[in-house]
Amino acid sequence: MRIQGIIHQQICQLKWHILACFGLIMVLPIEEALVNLKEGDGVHSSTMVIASVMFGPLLAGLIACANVQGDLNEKLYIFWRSKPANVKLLITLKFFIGLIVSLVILVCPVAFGIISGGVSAEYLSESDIRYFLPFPVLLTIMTYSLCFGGNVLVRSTARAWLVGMLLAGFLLLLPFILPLNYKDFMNMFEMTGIYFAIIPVASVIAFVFSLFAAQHDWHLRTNLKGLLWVGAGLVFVLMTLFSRQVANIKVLQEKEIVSREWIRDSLDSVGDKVIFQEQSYIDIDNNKISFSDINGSPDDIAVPITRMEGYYSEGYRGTGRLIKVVGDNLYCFNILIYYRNELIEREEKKPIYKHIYEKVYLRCYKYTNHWRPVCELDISDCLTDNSYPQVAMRLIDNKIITLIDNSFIVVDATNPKELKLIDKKRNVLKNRWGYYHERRKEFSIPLLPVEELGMEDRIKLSIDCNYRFSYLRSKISETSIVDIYDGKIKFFLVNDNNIAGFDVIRWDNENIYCKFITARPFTILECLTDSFHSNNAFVKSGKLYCYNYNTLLVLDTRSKHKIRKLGHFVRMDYAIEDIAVLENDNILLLMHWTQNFGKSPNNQSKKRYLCLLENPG
Amino acid sequence: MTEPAIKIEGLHFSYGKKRVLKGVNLEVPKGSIFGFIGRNGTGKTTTIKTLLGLQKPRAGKCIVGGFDSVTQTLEIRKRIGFMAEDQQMYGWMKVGRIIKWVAGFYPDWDYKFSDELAEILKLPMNVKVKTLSKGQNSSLALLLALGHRPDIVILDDPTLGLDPIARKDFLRHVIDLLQSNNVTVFFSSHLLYEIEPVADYIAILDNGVIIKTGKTEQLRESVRKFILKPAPAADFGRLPGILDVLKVGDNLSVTVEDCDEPKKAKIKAMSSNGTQETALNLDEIFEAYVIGNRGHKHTV
Repeated sequence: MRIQGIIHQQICQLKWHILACFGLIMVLPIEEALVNLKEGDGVHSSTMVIASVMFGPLLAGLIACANVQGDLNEKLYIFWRSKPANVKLLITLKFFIGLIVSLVILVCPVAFGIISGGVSAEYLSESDIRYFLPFPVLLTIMTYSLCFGGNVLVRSTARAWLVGMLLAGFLLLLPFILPLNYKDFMNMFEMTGIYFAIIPVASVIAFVFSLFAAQHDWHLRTNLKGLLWVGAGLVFVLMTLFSRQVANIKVLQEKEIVSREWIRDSLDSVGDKVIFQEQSYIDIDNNKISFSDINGSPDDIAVPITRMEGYYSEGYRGTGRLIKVVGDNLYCFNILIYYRNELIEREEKKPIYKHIYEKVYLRCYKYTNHWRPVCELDISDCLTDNSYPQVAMRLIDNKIITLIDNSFIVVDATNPKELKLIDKKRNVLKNRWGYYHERRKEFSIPLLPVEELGMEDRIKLSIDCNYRFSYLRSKISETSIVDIYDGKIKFFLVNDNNIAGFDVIRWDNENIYCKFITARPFTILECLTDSFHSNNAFVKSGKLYCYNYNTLLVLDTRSKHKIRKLGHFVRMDYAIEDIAVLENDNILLLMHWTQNFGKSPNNQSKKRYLCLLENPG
Repeated sequence: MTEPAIKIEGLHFSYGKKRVLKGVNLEVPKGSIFGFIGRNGTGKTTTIKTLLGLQKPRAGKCIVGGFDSVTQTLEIRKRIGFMAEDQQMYGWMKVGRIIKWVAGFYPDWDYKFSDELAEILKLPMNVKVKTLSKGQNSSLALLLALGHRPDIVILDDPTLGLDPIARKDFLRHVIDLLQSNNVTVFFSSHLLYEIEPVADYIAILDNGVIIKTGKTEQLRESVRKFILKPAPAADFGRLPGILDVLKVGDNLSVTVEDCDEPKKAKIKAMSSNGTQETALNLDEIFEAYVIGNRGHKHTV
């Protein structure tokens, strides 16, 4: 087979299409250049170069259809197929000739922009080209390949173009609605990574399909009506998938609440009660939200708390607190750290201030229309020389497990007014695991030496501390990413790209050994506005709840091999502050809406809402 | 016995649920001109496409020039010349360019011979294919099928759409060019008068099966038509080899295959006033085989 003959034939076959596409893609940059010339600004084009390049993928589809249409007409097909032609080589040559032509046409406006810019000393920014050109190039490759494959299949230029473009559109929309795994390993490209995976794969599949279809004469006898039905079916599938992505969990009730304007509020679950603003209970009766006051007995005498003159303090009553209900009384535990600023001299650099943490207190407060301190415990010897101590608490069976830095203390809180130190261990949080790297390998997490707890609670605490104990905002006190069900222990980690599930295989006195099971990537729609994080995720009764700025996802974690999405709730203009899962499995969502009147925070109005959602699944 | 140029064994082919070929068996002797006849839509083109390896049979096999049509398609295509019915070619190419383009596919294309063919067929080299007349188009297709001096030429209704003069002209060229070179010609057509003068062998394809095959001359000799007045007890339906029985006024026209003397005697015995025996042309033989009633009903 004479290759140069085929190349010559192909170029001749495409010459009018090449000229037409060249004309179409160049018309805008040339017009811009002429307008600039008329205005005495020199012959150059930049904006329209970028606009024209966007047409490239559409024109590539035309080139693809014209490329083989001439050869696939039934009688022509028999003509050349009856000759001893190597079909795969012939189709490959035709494919690549057309593809090169399409890419050359795509690059023409850019070349024009560079050359005309050079002539007029109005250079097209190299970084601009580098930024915007790769995606149209990839898209051109995909639309070209799909239209080429479409033409081999339906053997009609217009229909093949429609099929190719429809498929391209479908594939471009797919990452928005399907949790595709490509993103899992393509995350180095962030959100566009999925396209860097889809486009080459789709192009290669279309090309290989074309080879086999031409070789074996596979084709569909389509009519426009049938094609439109298929198109309508595809749109329906897309709509169905899309609606599953955008349909919110059912809202049972939504209630506007008066709240502290600028403080981030939270919901605290204590047993079967949800406490709002540490002041009132939220009662849910017949799917209606109401509030009732907490009336603590005011008989206790407040204990004096230690004042540290000359020290600054970081109090974490708002975020790091624990709530305990004893009878009608509400107690709250928190940690207060005192530090001073020390000027650190540095060589050839300006001196800086460093926080020197010196004192830490665990305090208990009782609610009697306001919070009154009832007990204080000095736990300062847990501090190390870290410049920023990490703190978290959890209340298990009347024991407060408090982690400060890499030490922990266990305090008996049976009587909140008399806190008793039970155990204290320093430097227990070593070798913390950041995130999993190798999926196939078994890895270990240090088991916290809290002998006072049962093994399940120890494992839960160790895993939560390992992955969520990042700093004081950690909510490990109330929730966990660990699910213990049917004797199996699983835990779930959430990062920007996916939710990963892990099995706890075994443990010994020092470590918990785990293995990756599965990952469920987020769709682009799900993380359109913000990314997810393990700190805003927890498991309860076989369901994983994770939320970001304005999206709540509920997922089934007890499916055998995959993490299945059950539903979601999104309010684009609202921000989620906290969520609580009620005893009947319904979800209580605390969110706010901010209206901006200007740039200053004073010109903002914030409204808070409590939303009662029906738990899906 | 020499190996046949084309051998088809138990060929079955279906388009979806529609069975087109239902067990075709055929042998085309080397150097012969083989007429492959059948009505439109009986499976002639399907058989040829299978011979060329353009489609895979559901069952059976085809051997062309000693090569299997499924596994050795390229070898077959190198050795055969094929011309399809109403052959279309790249209209935007010039005649000279398309000859060069096709020549590129054949390692032993005979440029001298193709130039001679172009001269014989009076083909203008510098005009675009789309401007050629139908006759010129067929001539060009013939040139492209013969330029590499194939051992076997397959012609699928090559004169379809040509006017009678162009058809005769084309056939004359085909016979002149091929007969002298000991080339096997597999000639499919539904125009029997076109095949009759040139074919050494005939195969009749009907409803996906070969219903008759043999030498043209023998076929003509063996099929006879008798005009007779039937005796009262005559039952032609029970006569072996009966192809067609037609009532023509008071008489019957009886067409019989493999007509030897004993069979002639039997027919005469069924007649009340003697018989009139006539030979048939290929057209009539084909008709008797394809739409003959096999003596089941006697209607005009």
